[in-house]
Amino acid sequence: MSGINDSPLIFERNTENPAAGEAPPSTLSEELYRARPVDLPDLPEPRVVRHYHRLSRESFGTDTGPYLLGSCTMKYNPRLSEQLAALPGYTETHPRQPAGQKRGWLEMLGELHDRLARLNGLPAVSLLPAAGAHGEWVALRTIGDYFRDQGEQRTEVIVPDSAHGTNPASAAVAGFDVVEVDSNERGRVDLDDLRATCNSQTAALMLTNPNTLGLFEEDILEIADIVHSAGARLYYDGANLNPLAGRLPPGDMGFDVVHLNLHKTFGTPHGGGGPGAGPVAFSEELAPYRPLPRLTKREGEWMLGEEAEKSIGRIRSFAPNLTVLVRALVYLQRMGEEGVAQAARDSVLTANYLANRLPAEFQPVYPLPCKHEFVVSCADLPVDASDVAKRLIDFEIHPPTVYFPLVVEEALMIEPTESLSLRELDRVVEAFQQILEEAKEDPDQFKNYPETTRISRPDETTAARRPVLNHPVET
Amino acid sequence: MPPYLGLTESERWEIFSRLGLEEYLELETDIPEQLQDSFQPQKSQLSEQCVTAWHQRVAAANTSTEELTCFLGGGVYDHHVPSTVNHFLGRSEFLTAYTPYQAEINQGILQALFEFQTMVSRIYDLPVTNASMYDGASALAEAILMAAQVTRREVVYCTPNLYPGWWQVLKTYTEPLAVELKQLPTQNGRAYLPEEWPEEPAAVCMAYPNCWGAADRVENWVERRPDEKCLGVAVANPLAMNLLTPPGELGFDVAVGEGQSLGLPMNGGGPGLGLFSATEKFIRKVPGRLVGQTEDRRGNRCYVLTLQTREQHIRRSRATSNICTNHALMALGAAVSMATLGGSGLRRRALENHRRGQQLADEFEKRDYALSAIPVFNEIAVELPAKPPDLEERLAESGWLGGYFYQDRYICSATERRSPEQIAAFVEEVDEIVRNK
Repeated sequence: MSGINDSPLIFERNTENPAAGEAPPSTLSEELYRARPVDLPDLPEPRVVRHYHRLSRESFGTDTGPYLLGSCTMKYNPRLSEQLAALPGYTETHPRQPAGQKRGWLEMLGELHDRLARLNGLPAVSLLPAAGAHGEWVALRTIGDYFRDQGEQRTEVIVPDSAHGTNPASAAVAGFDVVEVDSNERGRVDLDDLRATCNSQTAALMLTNPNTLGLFEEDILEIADIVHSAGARLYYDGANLNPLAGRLPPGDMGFDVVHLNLHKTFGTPHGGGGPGAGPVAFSEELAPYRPLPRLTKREGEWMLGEEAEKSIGRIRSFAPNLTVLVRALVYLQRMGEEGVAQAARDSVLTANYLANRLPAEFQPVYPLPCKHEFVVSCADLPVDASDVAKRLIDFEIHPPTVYFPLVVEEALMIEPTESLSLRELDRVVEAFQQILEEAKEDPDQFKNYPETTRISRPDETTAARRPVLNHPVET
Repeated sequence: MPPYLGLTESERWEIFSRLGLEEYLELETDIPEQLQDSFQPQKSQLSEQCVTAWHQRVAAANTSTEELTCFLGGGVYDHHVPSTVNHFLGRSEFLTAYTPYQAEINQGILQALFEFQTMVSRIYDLPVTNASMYDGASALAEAILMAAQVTRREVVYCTPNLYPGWWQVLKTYTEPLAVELKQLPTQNGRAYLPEEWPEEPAAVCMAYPNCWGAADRVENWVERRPDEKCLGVAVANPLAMNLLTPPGELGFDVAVGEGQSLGLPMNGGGPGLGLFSATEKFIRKVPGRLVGQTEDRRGNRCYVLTLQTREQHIRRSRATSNICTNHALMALGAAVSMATLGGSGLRRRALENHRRGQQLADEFEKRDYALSAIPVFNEIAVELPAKPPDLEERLAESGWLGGYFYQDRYICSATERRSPEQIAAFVEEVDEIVRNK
């Protein structure tokens, strides 16, 4: 493949392939010896650096422009977090070092634990899970083991039809059957349907509040009551915590167990897909089941406990994503609780501002106020949701989440976050106005958008039908 | 004002006035009254200087491998991290991006991950590699769940020679799904394949190097596998695979491993990098994100996230796994490291690790210590006659970060960062303490 517009692969920047192997070391049996070196290119360092530098310029981060990706909370990532997470006292440490050599880690973890416990209104936090879905699974595993110990056979987990896809997937991996509960005409959980669905088989209801439509579940206290009356537990999906952080702890709403996405609410970077961190906060009753190793405080000193009778056990090779946790702690220290609450208010303010100012054709599908995000439908437009998203790219705006939640046709899920300026918000509004005019005038033109990027409209069908997942070795 | 907000106070008031709001509370009419004041946030902002000082003090309370010379391993190793790695991990276009759902503005990340998949596929000699998992242990757990799903069988035989803690991780994952874990038999630190299998397993998992630094009897897989349906899963250190026969060549269906050894910082154990590769047969069954090559509307080669119908956001409760966010940035870092070292550099590094491991073994054997297993890479297990309670402390006093005890064996490792002199001096010191000289 060539052409002026092509981006050569690192394998194609090669001048030399590794030389053939030397004689096997006498200390290695022949059947275990790899005769030929792995076919990876030997490149001069300047070429490697230019290669990745070029790739970085073809990537879009929160520093690049407005990032409207709903439910992803693409807020600013502090540079101080990066600087401090890179301290050698953090990065140059080994997980199997004796406790006496890890006092710093324990203090860092303890500080973060207490701050997150307060913000959740729950007493115990496990900082271990590597990501949101990992946290969801951990939370459901603890609920499962709790009921087993109670001698109760509870095999079902309820999720709303608008739930994040990880909810049902995590419930299934934790061994539960998944049951859906409907949304009502106001975009909230239908209480009658919930009452009808909750029974002695129900282990938990998984709920995000505000929900994926950006709407606060106003009946949350009643929902908690219905779930608890059925003997089940209420689980909080923290993906949408940003508008409530520092404002309304999930524990106060009646949730028994909560997962957080530090890479959403607490300003740690997403890294093009991770690593994030998905700590889980537990009620007193579920806390004994949290995974190992666990933080405990004895005589004012934090320790890591490797044994606990009721624990679900270990969930990963080693420690938590420590350097991600450092970043979240830096964010919390710099913002303080009041700052976190202000960020929550601003995220609601910017979302409502956008929702109000967008052209009428992009009005939210449910009445305002919304919380940190809102969903519009493109069903009545001459172009589809994906066309609008692709055109936004030409305005250097990262598109919203498209075609989610599934309960809205041609959905665009828009989350501006608290990190945008008024000017940027107005620019987003102008972009939507212009796109609307274009859509009315010449909808056919949209299949050619984006037009400012090196590539446009990849053929995803062929990608999935005849998958090419690696570059063949050139012979 | 808090430091990381996009709006100025005057912009905030401007928005209020444009929305016709008098106070913020008008946006919170949806929150029940009982909950309106349930939490009182504390004013506790700290300055940049203050936070910096806090973390400098706390990080200094850890003992880093800059202070002690590291012989500790067990899944994470003290390798040199090429300078290019941290540079690109810090590039904000990579660092602050989300999962690359919008291909047009994320070709950079997508291409880098496609290259990562290719590199790992070549290392393991297996064609289907995903864009990363959390870490080695969870990658192995996912491989076992995939095998159970694909074969609809319930028993998995696994080497007991896993790093400490990994078996417990497998238990946590498999317990609620009625997958039963059984141990392979093992001799001299090497798990082997029995001639008879009492039941039809979903998978058989073997490790090389394993937790004793030896290789399970992976070379017998093809002739001894229980049947064609059962999956062979190799747990393999990717750096070692630059020197050892790769899982694909040995006939394994799946390879998993911890990618930190490819040249990533130890980070106290996390974040690391989970690797997951498989044969073509499982392309629609593997967990996690996959980046595929395709063409755009103008015929340009380009990259997209693909085969997403396996994933949770499409298939929900019937997804092949619940994983969503992975460790993409660590994958990118590993790719940069591999590109910087090159095929020859990785080979040299693997050879050096092998030689350091051999020297470490020799130094112990020279002093009449027996090894628990034959080492194949950079780690060894030693039979110490006694376990001095103050071993760690005394080693630290002399500037060493020693190994660790597992089932009464002393396990230590030496990477390319250790000089022959350091290795000799370290073993001498261990010997003195153990023999109470």
